[in-house]
Amino acid sequence: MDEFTLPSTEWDAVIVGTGVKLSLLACALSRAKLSVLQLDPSPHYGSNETALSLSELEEHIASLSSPTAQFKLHSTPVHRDRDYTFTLAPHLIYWNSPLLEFLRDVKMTTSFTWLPLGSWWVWLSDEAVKERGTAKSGGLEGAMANLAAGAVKAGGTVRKKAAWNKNRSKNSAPPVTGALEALAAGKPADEQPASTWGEPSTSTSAATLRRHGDLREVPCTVEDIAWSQDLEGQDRANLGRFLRFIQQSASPEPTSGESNSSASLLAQNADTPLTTFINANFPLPPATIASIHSLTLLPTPPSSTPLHLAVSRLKTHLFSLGSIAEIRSAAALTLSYGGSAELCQVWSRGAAVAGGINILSCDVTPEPLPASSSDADDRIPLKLSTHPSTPITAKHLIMELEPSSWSEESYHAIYLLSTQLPPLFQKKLSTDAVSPAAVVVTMPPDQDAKTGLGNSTPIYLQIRSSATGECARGECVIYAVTAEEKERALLKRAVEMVVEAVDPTTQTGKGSEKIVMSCEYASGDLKRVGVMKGAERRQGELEKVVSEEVREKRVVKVRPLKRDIVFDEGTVEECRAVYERIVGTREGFCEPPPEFVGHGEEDE
Amino acid sequence: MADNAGAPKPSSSVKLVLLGEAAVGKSSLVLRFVNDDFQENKEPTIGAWSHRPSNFTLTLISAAFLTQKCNLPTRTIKFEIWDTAGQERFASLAPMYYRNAQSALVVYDITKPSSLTKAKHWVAELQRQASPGIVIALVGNKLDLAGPANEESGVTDTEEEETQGDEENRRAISTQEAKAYAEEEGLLFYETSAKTGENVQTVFEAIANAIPESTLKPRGAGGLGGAGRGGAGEQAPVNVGDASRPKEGCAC
Repeated sequence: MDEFTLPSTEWDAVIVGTGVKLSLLACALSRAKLSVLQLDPSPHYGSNETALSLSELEEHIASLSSPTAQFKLHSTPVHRDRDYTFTLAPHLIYWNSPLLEFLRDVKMTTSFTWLPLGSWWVWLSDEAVKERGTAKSGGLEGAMANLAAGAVKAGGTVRKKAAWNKNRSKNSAPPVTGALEALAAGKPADEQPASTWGEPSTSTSAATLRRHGDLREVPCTVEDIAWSQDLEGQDRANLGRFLRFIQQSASPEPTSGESNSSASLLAQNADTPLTTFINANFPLPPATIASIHSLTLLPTPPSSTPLHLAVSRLKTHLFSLGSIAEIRSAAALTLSYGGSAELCQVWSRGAAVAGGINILSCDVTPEPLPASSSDADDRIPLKLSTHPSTPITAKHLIMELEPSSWSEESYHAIYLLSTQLPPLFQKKLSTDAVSPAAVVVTMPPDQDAKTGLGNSTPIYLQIRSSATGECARGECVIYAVTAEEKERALLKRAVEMVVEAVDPTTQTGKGSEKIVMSCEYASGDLKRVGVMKGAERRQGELEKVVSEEVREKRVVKVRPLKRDIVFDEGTVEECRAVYERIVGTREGFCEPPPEFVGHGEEDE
Repeated sequence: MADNAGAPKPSSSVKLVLLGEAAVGKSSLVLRFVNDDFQENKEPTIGAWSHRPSNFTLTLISAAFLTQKCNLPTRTIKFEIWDTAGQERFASLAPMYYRNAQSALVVYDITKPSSLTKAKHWVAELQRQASPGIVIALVGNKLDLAGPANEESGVTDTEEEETQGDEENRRAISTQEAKAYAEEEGLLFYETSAKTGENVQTVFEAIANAIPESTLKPRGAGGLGGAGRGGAGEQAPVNVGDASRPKEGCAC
């Protein structure tokens, strides 16, 4: 099929790579009517955010040729190779995220299947929960908070309903809750307006936080805090105050003297570690800090996570909570069939539909044009591995920064399980119309929370059900990640612990029997393959072939996507900036050309 | 495609993917089916940015596919028709293209032998990549370029007869040859003309009839691609289209 001739030798943009950012740019530039040629040396879309079948994953891991990258089948999968879609980018996307807002603007949300990422779980032993740390116990204030909690539990459905409707006006962040204030102040909630954070379940749907052995649901709504059996009265008050601090520090305009002070308290303590800050201002037991920190999904332990990072993440979480009509208990979404890998495929196809060309298994080398060619002014001369006899030129060459720029390290593992762990995917609230398709389980650092694992940084497990289309019915896929190399050996044990705690058919010590496939790699391994492999070489060739001036003007490099659990929220903005540099305006970024609009849309 | 008013019939969405060598008339077939229209010199689907015609290819993007209803006696099938957008030329079709496709139209040009070879390649690719049970129709297009009434010629060497008789007859692939291949592979088989419209409707109706009732999902369920194989209980996609949509349906 490679015999096909290219329709042109002169391109407005040649894009090297099919990862999230480069695919978005391919789509946006094609839609802006630039001629776009998008290549990838690998045979799959997505570069380092790709999705792979079982056999493709095995090949990919082998191609990393890293001693620590491993693929292992522990038993024979019973389904077809194609029934599996494992991804290098199982990102979650918060409801309040720039990506979702952008996709709505360009009318692209219907190109994806959005699934809710539901409950959040944290592993805490009973012993860890009892540990008080610097937090005091009992006291009058605690008793009052318990009273307030009781009021929340008994909470008036009618008042809540009114507040709920009132607060659904568009774009308004859910206001801080009266009940939360009541908890924080240690006053009965009766005197306060009702809660909206984390959609007020009606009093009938409020339930105690679920647990499976030591695996506990993270309290993140007012009801959760009120109902948590793991919190003493004083803890309820302080957790309520901490959450209120987060909410108020978010508001740019001071609405009261207190919100002002929250913002300044945050500013003064931006780099203070989360644990230090909480202990100084809202003393909480280590287990509660570990629990709240688990919602940040940050790689560092609470004792070294800067406050501003934690608050930023918690803000996004809490403001997204309760926004999804079908499942109020969820805060985030994920894309079926491979998370962000699906973004790459849809955007690359979007580029093709708008007139661009995608070529896979194709590498590109900057190479001087043959002497016979007319001078290429300041265009960049290139040779494609698939069309070696047809030199091309590009007005703009867009690629990723060299691997040396990729400093963050993370250690990943993927597990296919022969059980679907049903208890984790049950609905949390009786008002939820759908159940979560993915959940997050955190193994907090052991010194704080006594998981027994011996980890010093958090280990995060994202568990995805077969509703994602990534595995077959009766199975689930677990993506594990940690920031510490020495802890990669603990990832498998963490998975086994969860299976043993949750799966009714698995006995203690037998968790490993449910693992069908395991695969490990480090983010650094990815530098050695695909589009990253040739990056330094391409840069070297570029320096030989075109002047520094042309490189400055014509070569655009984007940062590799962050290898985070949460979708890299700088993505759309960075791509918009590249678009502006090339097209000359930020307007119309990725918007469908007028002739597209009104056609091909779903009817009715 | 007359939309007869009457008692509402059950309605289902069916994803149909189009495959075939360049210039065999894939887009023209769909254009004929969807709009009952034919454009003599339609731009190729690929590489058309320089003189971008406002043709049907451009209508694809918003939802990445075109839709057309097909009314059967007992039910209505809504085809979601996925063109390749030229990606097949460089073998760069993404998994999302094949995923959950319930039907495929593999098109060749009866005047071009290489196009049947390519069609066989795509059939093999579909059997490898697509869902088991996918309904594949092999379609020989450009029937208007064949001589009159040669389609049913017997076992004798048709090519010879055709070239002798009629200068207008540019047929290069006999009906028998393609039909035998289709039978061997269990494919539906038709010869069509997007130009005259001959058999175009028939192909889509045949596909609609061949899709097993059991694989049909009610309209709207599961959105694009469905994710319908889900496990426990009520795991289902959510609607993110509009953050401020009315909430009156909410149970609180």
